[in-house]
Amino acid sequence: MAEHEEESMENIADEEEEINDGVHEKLLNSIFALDGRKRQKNVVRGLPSTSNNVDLTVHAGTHKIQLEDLKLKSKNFHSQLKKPQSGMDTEKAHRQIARETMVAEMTKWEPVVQDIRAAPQTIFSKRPYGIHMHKAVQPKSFTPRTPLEKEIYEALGKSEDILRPDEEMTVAETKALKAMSVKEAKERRAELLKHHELLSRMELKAKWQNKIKSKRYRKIVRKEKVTNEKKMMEELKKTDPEAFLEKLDQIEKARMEERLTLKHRGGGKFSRLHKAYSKFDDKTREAVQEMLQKSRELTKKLQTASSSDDEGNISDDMDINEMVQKSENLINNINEDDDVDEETRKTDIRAKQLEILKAVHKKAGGWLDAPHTTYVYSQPESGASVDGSNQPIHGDSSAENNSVTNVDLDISTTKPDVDLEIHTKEPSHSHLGVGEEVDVNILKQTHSSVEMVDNSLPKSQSKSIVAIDSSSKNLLDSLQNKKSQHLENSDLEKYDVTKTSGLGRKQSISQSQLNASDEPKKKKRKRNKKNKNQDSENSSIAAGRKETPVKEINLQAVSDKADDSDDNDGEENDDRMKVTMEELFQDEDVVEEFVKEKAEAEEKSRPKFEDTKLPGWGNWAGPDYKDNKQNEKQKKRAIERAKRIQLRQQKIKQPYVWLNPNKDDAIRKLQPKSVPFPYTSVQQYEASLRQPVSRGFVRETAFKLLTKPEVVTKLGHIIKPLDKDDYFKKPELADFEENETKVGSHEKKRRQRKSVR
Amino acid sequence: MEPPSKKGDTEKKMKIKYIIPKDPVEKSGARFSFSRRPDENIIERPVPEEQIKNWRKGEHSKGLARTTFHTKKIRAREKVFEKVAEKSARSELLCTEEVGGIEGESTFQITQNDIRATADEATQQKIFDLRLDQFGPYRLDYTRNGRHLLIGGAKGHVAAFDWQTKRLHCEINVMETISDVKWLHQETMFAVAQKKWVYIYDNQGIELHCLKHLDMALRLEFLPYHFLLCSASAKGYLSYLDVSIGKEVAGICTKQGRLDIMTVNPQSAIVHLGHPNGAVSMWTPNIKEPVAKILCHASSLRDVAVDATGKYMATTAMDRRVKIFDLRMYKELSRYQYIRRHCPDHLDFSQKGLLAVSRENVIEIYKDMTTLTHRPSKPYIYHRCDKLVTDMKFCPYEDVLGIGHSWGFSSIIVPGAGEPNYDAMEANPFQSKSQRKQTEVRMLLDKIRPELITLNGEIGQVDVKTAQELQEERNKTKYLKPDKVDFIPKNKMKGASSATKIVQRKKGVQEEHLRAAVRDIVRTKQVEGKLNARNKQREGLEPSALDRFKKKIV
Repeated sequence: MAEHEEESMENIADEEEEINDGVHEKLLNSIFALDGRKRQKNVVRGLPSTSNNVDLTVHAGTHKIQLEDLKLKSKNFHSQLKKPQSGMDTEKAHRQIARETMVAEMTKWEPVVQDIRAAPQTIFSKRPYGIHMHKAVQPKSFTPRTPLEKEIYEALGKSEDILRPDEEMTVAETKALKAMSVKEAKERRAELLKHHELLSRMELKAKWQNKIKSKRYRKIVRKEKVTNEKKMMEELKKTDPEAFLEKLDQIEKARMEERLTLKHRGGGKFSRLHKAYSKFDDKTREAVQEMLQKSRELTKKLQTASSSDDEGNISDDMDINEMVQKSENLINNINEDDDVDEETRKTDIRAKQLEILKAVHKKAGGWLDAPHTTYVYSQPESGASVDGSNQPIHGDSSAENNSVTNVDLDISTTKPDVDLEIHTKEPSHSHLGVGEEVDVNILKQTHSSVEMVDNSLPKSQSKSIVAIDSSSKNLLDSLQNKKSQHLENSDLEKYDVTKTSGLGRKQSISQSQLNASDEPKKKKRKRNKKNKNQDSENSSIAAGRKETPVKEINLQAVSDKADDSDDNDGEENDDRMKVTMEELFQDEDVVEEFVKEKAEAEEKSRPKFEDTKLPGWGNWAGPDYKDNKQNEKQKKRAIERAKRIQLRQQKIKQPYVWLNPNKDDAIRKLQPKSVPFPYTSVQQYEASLRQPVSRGFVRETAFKLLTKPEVVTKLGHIIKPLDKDDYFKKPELADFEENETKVGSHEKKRRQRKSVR
Repeated sequence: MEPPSKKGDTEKKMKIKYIIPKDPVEKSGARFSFSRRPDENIIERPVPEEQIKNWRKGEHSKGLARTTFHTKKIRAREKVFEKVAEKSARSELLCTEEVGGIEGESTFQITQNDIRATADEATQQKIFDLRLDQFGPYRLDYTRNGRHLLIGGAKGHVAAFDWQTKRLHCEINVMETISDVKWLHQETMFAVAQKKWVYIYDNQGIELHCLKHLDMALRLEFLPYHFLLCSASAKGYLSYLDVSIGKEVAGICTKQGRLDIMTVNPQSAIVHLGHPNGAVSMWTPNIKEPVAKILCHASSLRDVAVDATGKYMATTAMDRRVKIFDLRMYKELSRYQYIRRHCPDHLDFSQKGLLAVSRENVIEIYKDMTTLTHRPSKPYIYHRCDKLVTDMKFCPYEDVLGIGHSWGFSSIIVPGAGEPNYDAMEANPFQSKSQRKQTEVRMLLDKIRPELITLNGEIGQVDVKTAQELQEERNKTKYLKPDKVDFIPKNKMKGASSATKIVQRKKGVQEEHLRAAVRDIVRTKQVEGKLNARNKQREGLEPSALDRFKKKIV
């Protein structure tokens, strides 16, 4: 590197003081001589030093002219006559020379030939063609008429910087061109170029700086920025206190906004530290978990409200009856299980429950602190205050609490709080605009609290509640199974609807039944919501395991005057018809059949691995013979595994679609088997064929463009060989050439520098 | 006309500069060419990028070619392609006609009478009924340019006519039951599936051919670019007949029972058959098995239709549902349940994507069934016929739906159904006789081989499977420089798919292959060397004088 620098320095020196180089050399030598040491100078070999005009050979390293150098050398060094060359040799030499000259001549033409070959179209005709309509078509020059136009024309129209459409340069430019000599113009251009290069370099630098990934660098930059800002703020404080305050406000606002978004899930320093710490402390872990959960809940997208509420009436009577029956059984079971004195325990439980709720509340980080949650602890108030579609039932249950059996009471002690929460919060939250998510959140919390209560209860009782849970689960499952017998995916909303409709009927049934049926219902709802969450999670986890259900849309009945009567008939029949139609066709196991067929077809298309070797094959080769069996087995296994995976994937993705693996056999015969010559990749080749050409596919102009002939010859036109004068023009100006060479040398230097780097 | 004044004349002459080419032959006289002068600059207004995007056919080629020269050539070609896209987008300007339509809330309340009352006379002419109650339910077909109509009654009545001028070409009774009628490539010939065989008649009603290959055909379809007449028979036999040479290209026993539901994908020429087990199978003449099979419904299928873009398929079945499938992914897009008593019978897509659904004597036309954003629950147009609808087809390039029913034929207006701008290269509704002849010749010259019917349009692609096999084989041979693998790296997240990383990964794989190949070569050489060394020591292997007596193995 150092060497190189020296060299470059020298070069610069060369350039600068070309004229008095010799004198300078002398001077330098004398200066060094004063010092008493030899001056080291590297002479570039091959490049004749600019100073020695005299025909002297300077020995590298030593810079003194030696005596031998001063001797006049005889021109013909060899005193002896050369041996005359043989005929063959001369001929050979001649041939060689001829060849070399020929090669030189031909290579000179190479770029021209390449250009011609690469040109999109070559026309071998020098005949001018077309009509010159140019002048006639041109509009007349603009003459200003209105005063405004005239004024504008005065101001702008006479400007010399306007580029006329039929001219190449503006008047000012032509003038400038005329004023400048070619040399000056070149210089100016060079200067401009230099400037441009500098600019571009700066740009590049800026770009690189943006891409630096070093953390340390970024840190430094950030610190710098912060200090700068601080400085600025201080200055502002002194100079412009109002602006300073404004800025402060802005910063505060930004901070608030950042906090409001709740996007900071754990990326912050604080939370990261906490995470690290949470390994050792359960509390912190929980706190972190909770925070994360909350942020997730709050940042979740709102789901659109269900639209199929009005379809509730269509629900099956069967389901309701079943449900009611089951719940009745349940209640009986519970009655049998524990008729023990619960009233004594009641108070205890209540106290515990309150504690737990408090704990929950605390855990929630004051989330429940908001005014709308005050109802949580006050049972009777809430019962009175709330109104809604589901409310009467609830009121009944709470009223019953005091009168009906112990079991009922027990359940109601655990549940009504939950219920209350749900009902009281729904309206209050909704006007806050948080909506369903909050609801779900609270539901979860209450659910957990209920579970805690369960745990705190004596075992027998908790068992019963678990029983309720499981029974409700069973109910749900049975419902689901029933529905899922149809091809269509059951949607959960419908169940809700059936339940609500069921509730309407239940009011007329006995009270105990009501209460009991209410319980599983609530549970079920929770479960439903939970299910929903789980479903979404599942679907996100194992995406594509089951096709996402396509939403079904009912095509609404259209009734115009002409067919009113008929349509009415149709609607009356509708319900009956629906059942019959579905029943008619659901039991046909077409689906199974199809799947079976598909499996068979796949089995058929799978390649079979058969061991064609007879037993004992290769045994005679002796103990040294290594059988490749192991390898083969492995290979086979690998292939089979791959096949299996592929199959499974296909099955998972589209169980009702079968694609024939041999579907492309016919076209494969016609397809190219390898990428043809100039292309290096399949993509390249296919891209070259992607554009249809024929008139049927593209417009006429485009077609002409695509089918433009590469070579155009015309009848009767002689195609002459290329004229040398057309292609090799001699440079017109001497100084231009000089400039060119200069630039060239500059280029070389730059390249050298680059290579050294 | 007065001759212009002399002064003006001279001025004009001054301005206009004619260059009359005299160079080649003087006898041939002057010839003018009106092409643009090469040095003339015309600045065109740029076309919006979105428009051009629609016309681009795919990704442009990447990477370098084998030589710099060819790289240059390919780049130049890419530029031409871009220009073509731009030109095509620019010429969209010439499609001046716009799609019609009715807008509003409940458009289905508008009856044909309302339309007739407000429309112009030419449109009024398009609403008409043919009362043909003697020869039973009718099947119909329009020619590709939408000009001519062919109707065939189940009891043998066949009539072909220009439905716009109502000029009758022919009217015959074939004295046999008719199950389907179909125009061939032009209005000069049509095929009729009769009780036993398929017959071909010309537009005079003269029987040209009796195709005994195609027996007991229930449905006919015609592939105009391949000149293939497809027929689906009651015995479950699907056959392809090349009508240009009269040869049966393929006969496939589908083993699926009676085939009375058939439709053709107009883009890929794949035949869709509907089966009573709710499945739709897709067929090409190239293999004896279906190329694909989709289970669409859990009950017996009623009809299948494929839209003009070839992307969507509509099906309907006995479960009274209409389902839309995406044929690119074989996936259900949307499903519609009829809450009506009757089951949807027939389906047909119009050129602009309207879907007509018939049930008994009612026809409902739905808009935007294939879009995912808007799912209509109410029809766009509602129409009621006198009798049971047995067939219906949208007329190409017209806003007209033709309906065949048991009392004849009726034609109704469906605003916004047809493509408003016709491409005369493709189908010209205003074709003259000479143009028709020209088109016929060109169609025959452009006939596509049946082998090119594929499911996914693999034409113009390299057979990668075979290519890989060949490559492997080649790489196995000794001492040959192994081929490079055309490896497309998997897309990875987090900046691992940056250009440099991709290249690095590619190189890694290629080098690995190369290394493996070199290793193999070296090993084989080593083994051979060992063997050679060993063989040298053996005595028997050196040539001896007695070798000449050995038996020579040829």
